[in-house]
Amino acid sequence: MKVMVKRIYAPAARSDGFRVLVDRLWPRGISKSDAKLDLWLPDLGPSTALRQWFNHDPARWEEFQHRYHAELKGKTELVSELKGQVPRGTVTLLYSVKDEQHNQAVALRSFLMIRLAAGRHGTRGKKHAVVVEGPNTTMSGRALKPVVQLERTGCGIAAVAAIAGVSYRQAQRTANQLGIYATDRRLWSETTYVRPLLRNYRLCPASTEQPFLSWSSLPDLALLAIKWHRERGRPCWHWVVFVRDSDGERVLDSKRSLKSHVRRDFGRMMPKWYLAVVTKR
Amino acid sequence: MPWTTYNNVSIPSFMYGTAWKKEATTGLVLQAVEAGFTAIDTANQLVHYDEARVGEALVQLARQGITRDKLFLQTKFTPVNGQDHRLPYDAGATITTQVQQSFASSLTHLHTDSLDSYVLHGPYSRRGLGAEDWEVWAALESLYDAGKTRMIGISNVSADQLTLLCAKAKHKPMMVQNRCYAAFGWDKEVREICRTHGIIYQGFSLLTANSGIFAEPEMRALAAKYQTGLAQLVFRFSQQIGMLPLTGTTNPQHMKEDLQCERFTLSSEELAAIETIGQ
Repeated sequence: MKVMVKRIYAPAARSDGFRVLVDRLWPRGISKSDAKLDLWLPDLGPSTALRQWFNHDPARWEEFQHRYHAELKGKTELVSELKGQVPRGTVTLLYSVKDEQHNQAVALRSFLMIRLAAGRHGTRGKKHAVVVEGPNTTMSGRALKPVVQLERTGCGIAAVAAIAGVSYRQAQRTANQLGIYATDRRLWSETTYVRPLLRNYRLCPASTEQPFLSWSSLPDLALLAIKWHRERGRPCWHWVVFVRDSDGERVLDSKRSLKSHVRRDFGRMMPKWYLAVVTKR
Repeated sequence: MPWTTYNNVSIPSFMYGTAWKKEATTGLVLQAVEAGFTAIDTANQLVHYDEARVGEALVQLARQGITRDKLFLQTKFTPVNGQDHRLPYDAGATITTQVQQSFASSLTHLHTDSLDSYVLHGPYSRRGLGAEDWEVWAALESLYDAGKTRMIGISNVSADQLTLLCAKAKHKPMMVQNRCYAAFGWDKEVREICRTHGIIYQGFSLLTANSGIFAEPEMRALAAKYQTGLAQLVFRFSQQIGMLPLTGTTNPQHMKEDLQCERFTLSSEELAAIETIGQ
């Protein structure tokens, strides 16, 4: 399964699969037959008030997505209709605006991918998994290796990459396909967005975070929040991986400037809480 | 006031649609019937519908005295390209066999031995009609000839496809069910063909496909004039231009209000204005 976005004025291609227009208004200068649509869901577009407030201002993009996703949560039937198409092949969300980075189709795609990955409204498991690139090796019998983050705020993606056994770039691409971007400030204060990425690699995160009590009480594998602090009143932290296996206990830290990304200086790290991870494979 | 098809089957003028209701399907069908709906639309397609849960509602209604003969039941055969892995037939079988298997499964789901309306959920071909479309239509015609369904129809069909079907089929469809966009004149081309051939046109997504027109001052003025809601205005308009509307509301109050739309009548000028409002 694949969800793509495309400007409606671009030529239709067989690889588009199921073509869905998600603009509230019919685009100018294009006929019904030229559009080669399988479906038009005008009511799935952002409300007029939200669209006018956003006005395709990139500075408002993050907040726009947040508000639009909130609107979409109230449109369960339309989202279900669209989601029903996804497991059957490629779905292309079509839009008319010139801005290819900041538009409702891009925002809708990220909403859809997170929903599909989280399995909130559909069948969980293999059929709906949106794995783009799979791990190179399996977890069993392989020592976890640290992954260095290639984006300043990409510690969550790097931590998942380390556990999944994929490169940072591979995990980054998968995350982006799920609508997860390291630059998204919401990632820095919430754990919601790392869960679909873990699940996508058949990794099962615990449903809630647990407060850190001691190193010995940690599970054998966990995402650990260290350097916990507040920025502009919002909690922020640095994700690392805690692992306990035949090589003993250690922390895999993705921070680029570290001399060694395998850490055992447990006294210096002050974890706030952890998210246990279980491998399904 | 019910409609009558060209083969003299009576069909209620408003229908309750059960798409995307999932586990709430049974309860909502019960509420819809309690509100006054007597026609129920579903499909043997688990991607969007839950036909068996419609059937559960029918069993409960029968216990309350609302027996099968008091209701109009419409369901659909969905080709393999519209299904996911949960197929109600053998995908390796011929299309004729698939229709027979899906139909039998629908009867089981709905606890009945015949249907009022059996619908092809959509043609196999995007444009024109191919061999698969003719085979599937012939399979539907056979069910009709055998008296297993009182009418047959087609959904999600273009004007060109409908013209072809009417020209060459042994039995032209008795009904068409399409998504109806105001931006395209409320599917005017297809409606015109239906009018010419005496085919009942059922419109779905009348509200969700057209919410843009709710902001139009003309619509708001008409709603105020008739002291009604915008949804009722759209439903009444659709009925007056010869359409049988579907609603899938999950709100019991809206179910009742939608059925009350027949209490007012729009003038021909007002109908003409709404017919072109979204274009």
